[in-house]
Amino acid sequence: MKTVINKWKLPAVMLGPFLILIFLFFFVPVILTGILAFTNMDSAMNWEFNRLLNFEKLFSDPDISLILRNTLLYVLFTLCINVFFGLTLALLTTYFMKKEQFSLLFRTIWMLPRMTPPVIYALLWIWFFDPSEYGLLNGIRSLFGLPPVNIIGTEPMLIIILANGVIGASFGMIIFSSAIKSIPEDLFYAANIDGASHWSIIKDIIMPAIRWPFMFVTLWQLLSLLTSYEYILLITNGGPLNESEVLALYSYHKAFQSFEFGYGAAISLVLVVIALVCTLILWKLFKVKDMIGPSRID
Amino acid sequence: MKKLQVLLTVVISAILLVGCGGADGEESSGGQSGDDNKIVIKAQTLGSEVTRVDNLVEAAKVLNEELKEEGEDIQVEVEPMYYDGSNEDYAKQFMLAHQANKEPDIYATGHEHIGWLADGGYILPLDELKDSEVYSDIIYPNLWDSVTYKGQIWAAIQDIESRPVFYNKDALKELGWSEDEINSLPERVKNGEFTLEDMTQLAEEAVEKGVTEYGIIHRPVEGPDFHYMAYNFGGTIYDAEENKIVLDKEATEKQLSYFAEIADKGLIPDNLTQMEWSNIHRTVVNGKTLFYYGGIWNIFNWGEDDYHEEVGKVDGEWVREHFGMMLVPAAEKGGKPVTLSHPYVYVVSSQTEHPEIVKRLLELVAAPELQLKHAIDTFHYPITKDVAEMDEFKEAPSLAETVYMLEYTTFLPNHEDFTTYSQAIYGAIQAVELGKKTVEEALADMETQLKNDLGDELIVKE
Amino acid sequence: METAGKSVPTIPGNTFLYQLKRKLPYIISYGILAVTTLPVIFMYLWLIIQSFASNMKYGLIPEGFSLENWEFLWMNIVYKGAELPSIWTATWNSLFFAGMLTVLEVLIGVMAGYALSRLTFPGREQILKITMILHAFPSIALLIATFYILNFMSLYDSLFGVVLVKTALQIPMTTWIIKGFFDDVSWDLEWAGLIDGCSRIKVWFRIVLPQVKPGIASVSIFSFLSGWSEFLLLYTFIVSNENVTLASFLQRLTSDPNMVNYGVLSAISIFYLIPVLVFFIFTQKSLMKANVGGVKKV
Repeated sequence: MKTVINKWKLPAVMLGPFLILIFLFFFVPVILTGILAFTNMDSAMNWEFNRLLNFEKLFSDPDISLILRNTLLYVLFTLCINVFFGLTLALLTTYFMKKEQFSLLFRTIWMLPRMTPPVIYALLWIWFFDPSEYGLLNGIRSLFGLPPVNIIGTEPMLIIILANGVIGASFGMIIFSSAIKSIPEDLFYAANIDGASHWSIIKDIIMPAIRWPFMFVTLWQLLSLLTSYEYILLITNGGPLNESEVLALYSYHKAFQSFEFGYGAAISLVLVVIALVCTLILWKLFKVKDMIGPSRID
Repeated sequence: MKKLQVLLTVVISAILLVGCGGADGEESSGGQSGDDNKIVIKAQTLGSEVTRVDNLVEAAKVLNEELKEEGEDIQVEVEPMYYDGSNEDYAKQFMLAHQANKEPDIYATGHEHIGWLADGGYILPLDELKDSEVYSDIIYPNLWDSVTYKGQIWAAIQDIESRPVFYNKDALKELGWSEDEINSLPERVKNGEFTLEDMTQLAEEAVEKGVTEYGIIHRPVEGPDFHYMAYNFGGTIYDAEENKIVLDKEATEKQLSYFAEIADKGLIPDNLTQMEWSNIHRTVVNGKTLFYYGGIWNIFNWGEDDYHEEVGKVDGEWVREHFGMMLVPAAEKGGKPVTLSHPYVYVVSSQTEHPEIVKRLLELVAAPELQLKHAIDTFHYPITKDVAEMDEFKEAPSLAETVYMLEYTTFLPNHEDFTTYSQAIYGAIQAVELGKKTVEEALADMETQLKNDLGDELIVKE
Repeated sequence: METAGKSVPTIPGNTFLYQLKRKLPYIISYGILAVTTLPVIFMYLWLIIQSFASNMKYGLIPEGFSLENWEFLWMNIVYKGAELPSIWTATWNSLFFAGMLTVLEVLIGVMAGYALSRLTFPGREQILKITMILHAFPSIALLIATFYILNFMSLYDSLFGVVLVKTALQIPMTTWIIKGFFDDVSWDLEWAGLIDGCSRIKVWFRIVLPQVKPGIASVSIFSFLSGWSEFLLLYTFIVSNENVTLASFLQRLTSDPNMVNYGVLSAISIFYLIPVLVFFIFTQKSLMKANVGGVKKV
């Protein structure tokens, strides 16, 4: 008996706070929200089960196909930027840069968008692309004698992909930089002495080392993007005319602007199902099981 | 190991301290009688118009005097709560606070929230207020419509504003108008002589002759203003008896056609609905448009930031010199012009422990000096006639001159789902202005969407 | 991260072309970095200029240097007729909140990360998978449900409650990232420690933990940043006159789109960015010192 307790003591202590907090404030709310999705809770905060009504309503919405299409495009393209450009930034600043100060400088600059309060960041983009003559882009264009353009109106998807991409890339950049920095320097010295080219160093030393972070960043950013709405809300608000509305934003609009909490929860549930499916697919792809290897002590 | 122990102890004690501090804070729920027969009333408002609750603090002082005279041994203190965030967050916080019994006793909010507040059992009906002496002197009787829902009065009106059309006097001069003609324009609009069509034609003339770059500017985001156009065309958007939203197709079509027309004729900037507020202000203040569908508080905005290219911040006097204000012209000759107002109101929580005290406070807060202070500080109108007659008010730039507009004003419905309608019509207006849909298409799409979103709560009127 | 560069013995023909070929990858990488980073630099430079200018022509060219926008540093600004609290109180509150969150999250993260990486216990795989899936639920969707939990525990309207909720929402990410770093730590080190008679906890603290410093660096910056920018939970769950944080201070200024004074906004944004920048640079510098030696992944 004593050994059993002993065996469990360490995991319990180390994992305890984590599990308790997650259970109380994450897991239980998730279940509750799931239940909410099948009710008609609104501003009066009373609920009655209305079974699948919310979902019927969602799929009979005239804009649903546009919203789904937007969500797909947005997630796909921004994910590519986040992961690959993030990796590029990490490589450029940790491997190619010789001076530590420059490396830090560039990483800091790229962290700025993420650190900026969302309202300000959105305003920066809006100021730049404002369609009137006072917008920055149009101001520059007028210096060259070009007429003003309205990019936010004509290419809203492009704007939100870029805006979110710039922020998302810094996440990957930080994780990958840390991972690359963890690689013992000896390996690099050895490779250099052997006369390896940069490309093969990247391919054979760095890539395997970041396999786990790569999978993590991809999966995590995928989930983040599916559920992100804040910057889209601030820059285009899904406009014009739902051309840049994504499912997460739609859920927010319904839940918090019309106070249809039940309906909003239902949309979130749909999002989660999509997220789960994608996660499962990616998991199989990355052979995650191999990476969650068992413990080697005990 | 020692360092770790020290660190852990520090962290844990910090957490405990915060936890205890938090627990203490929970003790004060609204209206607890502590020692000395003290009653604490919590009052909350949104945004920077803090006079809304500060006036209640003042009112409490007066109440205490009265109570002393009446021989009561109670002291009332109003605890002001200021909230900064979006409208939705403000509403949401109240909902949750109410559930947890921590809500304020008096809650200042826009009148359109009365619908869901009443339906959800969050607030008390206040029918007696209408009969009270203070509120019987209401500036225009139609104001009561804004706080009526399902036949009952649910709030005390706190303040009110109006949304006039600004017109550029300098531009009119250039078009050859005389001083007389320019200054009599508001009057002619009021009489129904100068109609909406006249306005459109005048705007066309200004643009064609190159006097101004644009003829008309309106707000670039969704908002209450657009609805006065529907009212102007004789539309109803709400059925008070059935408590349902009405899609009045005939009036809405005319409304959409108006916006399509001013876009087609090149009277508005191409991308008006994507412009940013500061640039709207710049366009108007620098005289680039003849007409601007604005709000009375814009005068205040223009004095806060350097919008004018040469002068920078402009004051009330400057605005009076260069701009005039008029109602939204009637759609037909001889018709009634319109505008829209969005009154702010006080509602009383249904869980308050001191309803009588609160009601007395609401009466005292309408005292003329308090109203005057709020009106001047935050650029709103007072709600009772006596204040409008006061000299200090009459000296307030632009406020006194436009008070008459309240007689012609309209309000948003109090239905809880009205935001859905509001967003739908804005989407339709945006679509026709950008040329992405025709008026018929936009109307049809709007109908489908509203039917899907509102279901039973919608009546479609052909 | 320095690579042995130019000291390679030359083959006959140490020509310019050869030198160029060796340096080319560096030139390209610096080039890419410069080009992509330029817009970001430009954006923030503009923000800085705007804060010091009294007016901007074409929105681009500043006219007149003035410190007017920076007045909030030494006096309480009056906004729409109401005086705002001192910015230093707000800053201190933000620092305290963000700091506390960071400490909590890192602590829980390193404990849980280690447990999930090294210890054996049933349910280990499941916990990992579930915590990743939880990220598919954004905090906003869970708001109403979380409210019920808080209320049930009488933690509504308390700072403590908000701290718990926020921590719970962040620790899945923290734990996953740190776990990844723990995975890469060589088992030899642990064996060595255990053989020498240390208990597992001591091994963890003394030997393994220092190895994951880069991981801690990544996690702490994200935690700090999320705490620094938090205002939604504070708004929603705290009713009594709360202590103003810097984020809600900023929110106040942008709440009315008509009343935004861009100069002041720019100045305050920069002020907002500075502590985070400092924190970032500090953690990157001190924690990113790459670890020495050890063979990876036996």
